[in-house]
Amino acid sequence: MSGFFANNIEEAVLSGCREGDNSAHAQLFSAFSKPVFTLALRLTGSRPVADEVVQDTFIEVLTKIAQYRGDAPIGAWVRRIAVNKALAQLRSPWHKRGESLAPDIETYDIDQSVSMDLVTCLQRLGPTARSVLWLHDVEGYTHKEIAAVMEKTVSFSKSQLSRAHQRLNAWANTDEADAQASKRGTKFDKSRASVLSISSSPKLTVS
Amino acid sequence: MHVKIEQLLEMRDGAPVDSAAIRHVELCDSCSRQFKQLHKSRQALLDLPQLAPSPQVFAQLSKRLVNERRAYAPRRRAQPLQWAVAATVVVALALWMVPQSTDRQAIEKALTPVAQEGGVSRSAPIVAAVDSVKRDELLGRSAALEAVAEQLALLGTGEPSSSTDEALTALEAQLALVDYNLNAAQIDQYVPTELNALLTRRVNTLENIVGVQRAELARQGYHGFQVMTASNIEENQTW
Repeated sequence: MSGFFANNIEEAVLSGCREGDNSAHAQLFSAFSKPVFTLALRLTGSRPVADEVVQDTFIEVLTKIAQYRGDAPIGAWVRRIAVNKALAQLRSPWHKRGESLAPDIETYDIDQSVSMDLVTCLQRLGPTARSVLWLHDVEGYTHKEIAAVMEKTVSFSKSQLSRAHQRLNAWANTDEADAQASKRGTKFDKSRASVLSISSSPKLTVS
Repeated sequence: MHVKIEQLLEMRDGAPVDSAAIRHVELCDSCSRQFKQLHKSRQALLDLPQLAPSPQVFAQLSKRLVNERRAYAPRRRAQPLQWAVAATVVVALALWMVPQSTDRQAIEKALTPVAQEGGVSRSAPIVAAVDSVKRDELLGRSAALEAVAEQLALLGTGEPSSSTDEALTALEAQLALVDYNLNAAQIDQYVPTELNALLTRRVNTLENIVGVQRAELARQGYHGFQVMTASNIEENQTW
């Protein structure tokens, strides 16, 4: 789940950051690096790009921290910057050519078995549908907010969300069918189902 | 006619929906299943674990921050006279302060490389005592090394080379993280071995900082300032 609001940052840390104190930077980084990285990874689908987004986000946060007045929680401010940086990566011509969208297998520092299927399905979605899905369902963005950050319309956001869920449901059903087929002894090509593909219309075939 | 997924999503998110659609979902197995699936999917997404960026990201970030700041800061070049004055003052300070600030031995010790902590098994109380002695020793070395690093930092008046700058930035970032970990944790709650491992990392990082500083000073022509160890200070004082 979104961890941008789980951390309480003391004013002393923020003023340390404003003064360029390295240990205050470390504290802020340690509080928000995971939420920023997770968000960036979900939106971009690539670890190296997500690392870059983390750097870009913190550069902006730390160089503009003097402008942060504390009207909104610091987490909301950091998240807004992170979302903009991640979407900027998706819009970049380099990213659009697909060079950075190489399939990327995640390494979990906790139990991997829990949600690998869902992660695989997420990776299979196109970057736009995946971003809308994540921003709406996990970060709690409204369609209006998504439309604003993505420079699209509200109905675009709604249709992307519907499409993303339709695909997730379809893949979930396929997995279920796979499980039932295994029970019946029908062989299903599991290896193809586990390929992390960025293709917008992946097909799972029964061999 | 089944309810569209857009409407199901609106129902899920609590938006106002046509009552006929709600009634249909209650009665239709297929729509009801899909509606439940939408709930499940969102919950599964929320339950996904948080992931950490690559370990080197913070060091790279610190490096970039320094470069960003430098790009906006006015460049300052030291004049020859400033060099001479700074060098004279710092030599005098170094010779006077270091021996007085208690322990040349600590400085010497500080400059002696520390062996890496091994995975020694610890069970007897005597081992805890050894840990505590080791911790005091590491704290002493750490403080002494910090003093040396501070004094060395005062010496250079020229622009450090970019590789020195990068190395120092990365090491300072590393030091900040170690300090953060040391400060963040309640020392008493730490298993002594872990605390000692952190302190060892701090001492090693400081040793590396001092090493880089000394190399930079040598590059700037301050060969005489490699006399910061106690033995060399003594040597200088006998002149």
